[in-house]
Amino acid sequence: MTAASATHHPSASDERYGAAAFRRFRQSGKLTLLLTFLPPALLIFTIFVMLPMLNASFFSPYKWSGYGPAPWIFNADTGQTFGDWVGLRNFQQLAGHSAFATAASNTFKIILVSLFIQLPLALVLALMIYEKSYANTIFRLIFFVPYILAEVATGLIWSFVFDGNYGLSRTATDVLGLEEAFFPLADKDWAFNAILAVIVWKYFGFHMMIYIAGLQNISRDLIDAARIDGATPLEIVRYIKLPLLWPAITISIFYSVLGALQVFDIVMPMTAGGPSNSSHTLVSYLYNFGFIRLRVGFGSAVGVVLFIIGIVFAFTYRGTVQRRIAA
Amino acid sequence: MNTMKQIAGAMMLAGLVAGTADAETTVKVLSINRDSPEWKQIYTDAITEYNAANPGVTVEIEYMEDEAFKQKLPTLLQSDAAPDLFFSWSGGVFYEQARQGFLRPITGMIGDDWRAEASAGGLAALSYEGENYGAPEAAQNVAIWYNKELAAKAGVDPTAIKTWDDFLEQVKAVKDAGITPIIVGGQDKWTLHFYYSMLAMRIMGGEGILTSSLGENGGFDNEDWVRVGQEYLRLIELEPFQEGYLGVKYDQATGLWGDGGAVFHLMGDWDLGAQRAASSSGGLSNEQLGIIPFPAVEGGRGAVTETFGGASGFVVTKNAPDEAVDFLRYFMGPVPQENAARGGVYIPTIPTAAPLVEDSILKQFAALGGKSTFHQLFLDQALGADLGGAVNDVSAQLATGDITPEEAAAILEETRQFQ
Amino acid sequence: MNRFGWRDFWRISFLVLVSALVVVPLVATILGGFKSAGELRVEPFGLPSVWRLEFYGEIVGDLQFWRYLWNSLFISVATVFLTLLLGSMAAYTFAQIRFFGSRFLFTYLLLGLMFPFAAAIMPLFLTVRNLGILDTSWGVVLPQAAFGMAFSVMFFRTFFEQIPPDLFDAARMDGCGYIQFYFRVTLPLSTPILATIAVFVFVQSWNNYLLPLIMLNDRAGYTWTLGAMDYRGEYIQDWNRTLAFVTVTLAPAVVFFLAAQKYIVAGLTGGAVKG
Repeated sequence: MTAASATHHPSASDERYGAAAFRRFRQSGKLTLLLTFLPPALLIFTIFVMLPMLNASFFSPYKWSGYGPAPWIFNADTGQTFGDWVGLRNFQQLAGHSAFATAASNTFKIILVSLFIQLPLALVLALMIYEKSYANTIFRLIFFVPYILAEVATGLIWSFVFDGNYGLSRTATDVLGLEEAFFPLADKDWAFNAILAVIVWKYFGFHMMIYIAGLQNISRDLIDAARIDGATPLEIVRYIKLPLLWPAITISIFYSVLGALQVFDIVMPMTAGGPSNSSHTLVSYLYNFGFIRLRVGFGSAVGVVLFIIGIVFAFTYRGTVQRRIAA
Repeated sequence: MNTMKQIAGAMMLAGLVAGTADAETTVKVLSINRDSPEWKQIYTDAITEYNAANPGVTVEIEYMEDEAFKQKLPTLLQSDAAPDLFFSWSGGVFYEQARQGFLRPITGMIGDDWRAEASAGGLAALSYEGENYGAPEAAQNVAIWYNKELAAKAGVDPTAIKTWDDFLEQVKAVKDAGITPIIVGGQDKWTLHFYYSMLAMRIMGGEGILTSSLGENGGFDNEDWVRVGQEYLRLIELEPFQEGYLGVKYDQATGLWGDGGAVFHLMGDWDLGAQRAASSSGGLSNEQLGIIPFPAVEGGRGAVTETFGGASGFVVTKNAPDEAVDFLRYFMGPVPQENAARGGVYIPTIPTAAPLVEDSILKQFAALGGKSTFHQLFLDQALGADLGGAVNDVSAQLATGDITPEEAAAILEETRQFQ
Repeated sequence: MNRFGWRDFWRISFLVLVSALVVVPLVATILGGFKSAGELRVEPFGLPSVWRLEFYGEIVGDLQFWRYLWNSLFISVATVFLTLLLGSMAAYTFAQIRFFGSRFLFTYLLLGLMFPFAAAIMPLFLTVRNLGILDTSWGVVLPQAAFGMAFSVMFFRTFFEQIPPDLFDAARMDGCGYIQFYFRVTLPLSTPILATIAVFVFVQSWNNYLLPLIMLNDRAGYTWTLGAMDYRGEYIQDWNRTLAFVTVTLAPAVVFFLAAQKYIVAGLTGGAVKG
């Protein structure tokens, strides 16, 4: 994030605040610009991002069906407020709900798999095919296709592949001559692992492209020079490519984690959270137990948890790992 | 050139006038998927006839898959796209909708003649605190279906089943014979909740379930409910279901059943048509099928004559026009219901239509209903979205071995208290 | 130098293996739509014995299917337009002038980058309902544009700051104001970044499922992702129909990708370098 430090034209910084400065500000057309160009973006952002986010925390101590304008407003028809104040009970209920614990640990698993399987895979592939050649371009295109597919389409395709009566699991059963057909999505020990595999399948190409872009920015001369000095290919990767790729890696980690917190679309077509709530993510949990039962307070409480995880990660990450590059 | 313009203008004007003079009212109806084509045809016919007889009104119907329907309804009712009439079961989910003001009371619009032709019990099922909100269509009952040929092949006689132990023994025998004992579509948890709920009925009776839901006698956290879980687990431990049953929805499962996939199937009367529509072989004929009531549980307080099922119909939403109510009367009236009875599609609620049922299987279901000493509504509907959803959840979690019967009872009670 | 050693052998084998993992399910999907249910069960990955066109035909011949696509297209285009216009206007203001609170407001917008947006879906649903735009395309478009704002403002601002200030000073001499400069110079110079952001916003909107799911109740307004799930629910026994449906919707995505490839890669480079 660049702060407002670079000045490349005469700006307010060399003027003293006051009536004269303001007049100049206005006459230069800056005021008009400020008043016409900035508000639309701020307005839409405030209404649809910031206010709902704030409301989530305001709603979370209520039991409320969403009927009426807000839980604390008085409903003349019933002589009560629209919602009931329950304090921390929504959070207590969350903490005691085994499906929530599963959803949280599943979300955590997505983060782990993204960081320790998906990103290394993407990196290895990027190192293999970043150089410009006809064959490499073909591979790159192929690997990027899953990212272009919609999550819903991906989920549908893979639930076919994993269907024990059809697809891959059927073929595997036949080939291995197993007695019992294998239904990964119907087995609570397998369902979420299947989803994890699909997540890697879907997104590795995206991260690979980030790395390829980074690798192509590394100066050819630097690598040639190292080679002439007798560095092995592995040493070149270790001492030149990886350090120079670090900015790209930090960004891909950031996208991975923030993306992992929001996985939903893939889960719905594959398992819808089942069997017996074993494959929920935080968002599908929120949808199932908050949204479709219209428990606004409870759903908001889940949202608050999600929000806290996201914001804590973002700030610590930006503050530590990314600080060097961000400036 | 000029004349052309004038003509065009006049035509447009005429069109506008015609349009406003003949103000069309559209009545939007939303139903769950009608799995059997015959049932869908009854709807289509009723709508076609009504539209023809009422020039100012156009009725449109949409269908939605069961689970999708249940998920969409809460938000749909809050939006302007809400239908005028929608399918509903009786029970807590419906009561919540009525309480929150999403439905339109139509008590005043149900005249004496309408009351005379409709089923009083059915009307009562779709009313809340003395107000009517809809009209009834069908009453459902759940029983154990069996496939006669496969039962013979496995060497069991389902008609001899009197107790839960008998049933478990036969399940075991079938399994030992290398045949799948039971088909279930466990991804739709409500299919599993049938076992859990019916065991509850046999163990504590419908009265006992009511007592629990009122929070008396420890609510759901008492010995009876623990026993329900234990008996349910005795079934689960036999591994009685088809492979991968937790990844299969009801529609798929009933297709497998119709293809002769198992000996037993615990399901409602609607499955008669549903299995035929979903199977790839045309399904099972009446001659191939038999039904028995859910057996008694030893030491249980619930009689075998207590029935479990639903009462369903269509209800009116708060912004629906009067025309919607008028159509409702026709739609749930004698003509479609008598057609349904004659065609063996479902068991109608209208007193004049019910005796017309000739289908041998449906007649047996009707007899079950006729002898009923207590009718328990589907628990996932009766107990409301939260607690009902929790019953579905624990049924699935017990099946996967995630929780113990004690934990299941505790979860239900905790959910009840939070309501 | 050994041109084709073991290293290359392993490298190529690995690449081919990964490619197969990507391609096989996709090909099975495309072919599956041509098979009967029975054949699909026996031979999920092979070529169909008879190429059945009826499932594809039924979908393409269904008006509802085209309505789904149209709704998705409208929502995506409107989202792209709003995101680009509002985002670039705000970014331009930040890049051009400094004012009291500019740093604060910029950081405020950037907060949007860190929010998992799904956290607020329940209040967002209520906001949209209270504004009376539930069940309209705007109920999806406006939140999407709002969530894309942080991302686009950040990218645009970085890009705009690279435009040489001399250019503005020169234009200023000719009596060109800020707003004219934005339309006449900044925007035309920014085509690459506009296109890049447009592509990403478009793909995200086109593929979105959660927002349409909660905002759109009326089938007439469904996007294709909702339509696909609906279709799957309706023909739950018939994988071949679902696969045909998925295939037909893949086509526009792939065509679009090939056309916009250049900008996607550019976007990733930009992201990698700037953050």
